[in-house]
Amino acid sequence: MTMETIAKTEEQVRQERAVAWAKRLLASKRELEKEIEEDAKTPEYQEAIKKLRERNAQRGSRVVKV
Amino acid sequence: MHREGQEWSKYDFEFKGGKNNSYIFDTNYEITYEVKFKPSSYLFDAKDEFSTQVYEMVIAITERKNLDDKIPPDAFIMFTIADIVTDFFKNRERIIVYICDTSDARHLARARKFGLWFEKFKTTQFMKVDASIIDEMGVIYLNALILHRENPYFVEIIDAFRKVTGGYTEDK
Repeated sequence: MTMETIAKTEEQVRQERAVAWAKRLLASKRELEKEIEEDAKTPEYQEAIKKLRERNAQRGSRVVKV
Repeated sequence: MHREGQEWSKYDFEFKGGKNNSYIFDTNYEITYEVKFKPSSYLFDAKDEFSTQVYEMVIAITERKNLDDKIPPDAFIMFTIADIVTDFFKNRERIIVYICDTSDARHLARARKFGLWFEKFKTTQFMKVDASIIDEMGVIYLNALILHRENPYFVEIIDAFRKVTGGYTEDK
């Protein structure tokens, strides 16, 4: 096998880097989604959702006009 | 990201904050969503001054009463997310990066939906840059970058995004 056939082209290296970047971002997204699933149990979430639901109840609607 | 001068409706939301800048809202279908913006300086070169302003955006459901039901179409959601993104961009130097999940064949539909949301609400204030990356197995990773047009590093950010993703198409 010659050096030419085993050496990666600049384009291949760029492509591999881009794929690694996307895979890392996707893995992070999945971690964040898991974190969100757990969030509903936290006191911070409960406090925030309570505030929001109180506001919605006072207004009589979840919807606001902007 | 809404068009100026138009009246529209959206769900009220609450900024929960935290390390991942979380926002929550309830819908009329008894579904609660959380939108997070996680600081992600690792996505660009640490030497880039703007790298500390990069955030990954994630939208997910936290509570849902009827697990068996299909989620019905709900036009208020896109207005709400548009408003949340606008709120997040109060700091014009912030940069949002979004990736569509590729775990199933629906990712193209999701990307289209996200693109549609942006299309509907874009103003001259924001710009979205798309990039798709294909791996050796043929899996497509659809990415989007959203930034304020008055970001002081506007050109450098787009160049950096093009560099890490290997090319881009502008969604004007």
